[in-house]
Amino acid sequence: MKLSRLFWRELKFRSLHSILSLLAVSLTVGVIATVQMRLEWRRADTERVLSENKAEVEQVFAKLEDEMRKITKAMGFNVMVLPAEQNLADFYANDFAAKTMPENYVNTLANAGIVTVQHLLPILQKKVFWEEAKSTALLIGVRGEVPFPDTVPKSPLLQPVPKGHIVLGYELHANQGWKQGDQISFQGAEFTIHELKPQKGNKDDITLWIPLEQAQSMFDLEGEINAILALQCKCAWADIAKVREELTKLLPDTQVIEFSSRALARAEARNQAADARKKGLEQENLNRQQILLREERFASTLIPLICLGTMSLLAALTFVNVRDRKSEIGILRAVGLSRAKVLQLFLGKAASLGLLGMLPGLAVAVLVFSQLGLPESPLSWQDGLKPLSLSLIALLAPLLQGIAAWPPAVWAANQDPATILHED
Amino acid sequence: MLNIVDVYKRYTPSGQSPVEALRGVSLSLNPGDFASIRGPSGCGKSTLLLSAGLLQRPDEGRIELKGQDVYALSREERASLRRREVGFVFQQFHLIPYLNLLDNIQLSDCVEPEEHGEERATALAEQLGIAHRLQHTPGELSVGERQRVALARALYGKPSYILADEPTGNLDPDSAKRVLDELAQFAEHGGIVFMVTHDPEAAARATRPFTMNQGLLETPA
Ligand SMILES: Nc1ncnc2c1ncn2[C@@H]1O[C@H](COP(=O)(O)OP(=O)(O)OP(=O)(O)O)[C@@H](O)[C@H]1O
Ligand SMILES: [Mg+2]
Repeated sequence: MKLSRLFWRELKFRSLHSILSLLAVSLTVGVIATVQMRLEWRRADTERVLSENKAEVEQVFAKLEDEMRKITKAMGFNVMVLPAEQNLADFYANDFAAKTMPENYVNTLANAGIVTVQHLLPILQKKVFWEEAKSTALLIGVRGEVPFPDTVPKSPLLQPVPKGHIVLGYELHANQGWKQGDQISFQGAEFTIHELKPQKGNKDDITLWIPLEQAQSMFDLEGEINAILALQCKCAWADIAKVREELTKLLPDTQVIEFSSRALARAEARNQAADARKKGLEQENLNRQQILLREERFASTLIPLICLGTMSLLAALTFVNVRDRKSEIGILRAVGLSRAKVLQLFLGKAASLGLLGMLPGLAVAVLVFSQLGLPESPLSWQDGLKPLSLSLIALLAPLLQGIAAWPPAVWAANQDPATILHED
Repeated sequence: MLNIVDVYKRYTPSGQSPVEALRGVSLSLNPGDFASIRGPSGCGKSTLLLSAGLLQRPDEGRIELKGQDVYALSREERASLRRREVGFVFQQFHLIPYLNLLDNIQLSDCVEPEEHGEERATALAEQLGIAHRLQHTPGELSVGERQRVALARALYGKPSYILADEPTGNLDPDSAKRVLDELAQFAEHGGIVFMVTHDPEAAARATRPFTMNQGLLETPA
């Protein structure tokens, strides 16, 4: 007759008590494991969405960067440096700046080595009435590009006009029957036609280009210009503000406006689209994290409550068991069983019931969880099965039982056999 | 060899005046003694028996077993001494309802197994006429049979003495006689029997009859 035999016979004999305890443990383990598996699944799913979104944001921005490079490479965007005191309303109304600034400003810019600007063109621009042709024209004195001293020579954007030559916009030569090389007279001076521009459909059609120096002397503005074109400013993020800042820092006496903004508009649109997508994904991440947080809160409230409830129930059941077994405790102590063994008997029973109840509890939990139905996701219910957390729950069951049974088991061990046996 | 020396025991129920259950009891029992104690209800018989059974520490006095003051021992030592030296029989049997007879008889094995336990238990069951019921549980037995199981359980651990508190109190005369015969036989074989009883016939079987009154032992003239 071993104590273990007594133990198992008692479990069978007081089957109602055993079944109730087992049910309590199974149910608790079942609920906790289900909640936990769902939580683990949610964690995995959230992690999945977050990393997918992160990858997508990275991809969106890589694509954006690529597009930006293409956009700015293809076009760049152009800014015009004007004298600071130039009224912009007048500038836009008259198509040229009335104010002027020293021509050597352009050298200041060139020598400063501005990384974002590819081409610098000083110009002197005036609206004139062409006496000989009886037509209004926009005159631009150009000198050709100012080379950047430190960088490799770029293919120039605009060829300079050779001295004594003139380039004519379409409207200005369309009905004249002129050819390249013809001599024409402009404001009393003789020019050789250097180039006849095809129709553009913009201001270029009424523009004529002559060397800057000749324009300056024509208007008595030697050494003066009224604009510097900075063309094809190429920075990755098409950030006009940055270009503006760079330029005005060097030439505090100027203002910078952006013109021909096709590239900018496109870049902005791309930027905004990427930003919107990023915001959308961030919002989704936030929503996901909030759902996870909510479920974590739910679990962290529910699980302790269930544990507490079950432990109270198990403690009560063990108390009843001890009370029912007082006579047994009396005779066992009389035949020499120590208090420690009595304690062991009741704690052992609790832990065994915990272990026995845990297995069906886990099995039912897995079954319920697999049938529960989960939110749309490429993850399957198996992704909620985390060996670590399931093992912890498996350990929790006998532990809870043991803790719950501790006070009644101590009470059992402290029973005075003399009192019990005396109560005949 | 079982010496009860000037033992006092007082119960102090909460909120009530104390009860003097034993008021200086001395008694010496030797192998072969079959002692009985009679006396009015509440005179302290069960208290004396439990103290002698190493289950209840007296307030004063000593209980000596083979010269050893048993209450000077630790609780654990006393428990294992109980396993080896003492057998109990109670009026209410205190059998374990879910163990069959064989296991009930061998109950003390869960403290310390007896050698050839099953043969010994079976032999005792035969001796007591309950061998045919070994696989039954106590609930399936008659009252008389149950007391014989309790007696077998007391004898199983080869104790030096058996403490019996009204062992025949619930029994019909035939069963009572059978239990008393066994106790007498145990004493004849060198054991000590210390029996509390209300029954004059049972008391008459004792070689050393005592009476008790208000916590004091009286030896008949
Ligand atoms: N745990 C206890 N608390 C208080 N008083 C007790 C306790 N146990 C016994 N007594 C009292 O001690 C006295 C002796 O009790 P005990 O049970 O030893 O008497 P008894 O002779 O065995 O009586 P009975 O013949 O009825 O069994 C009684 O007055 C009883 O009421
Ligand atoms: Mg009594």
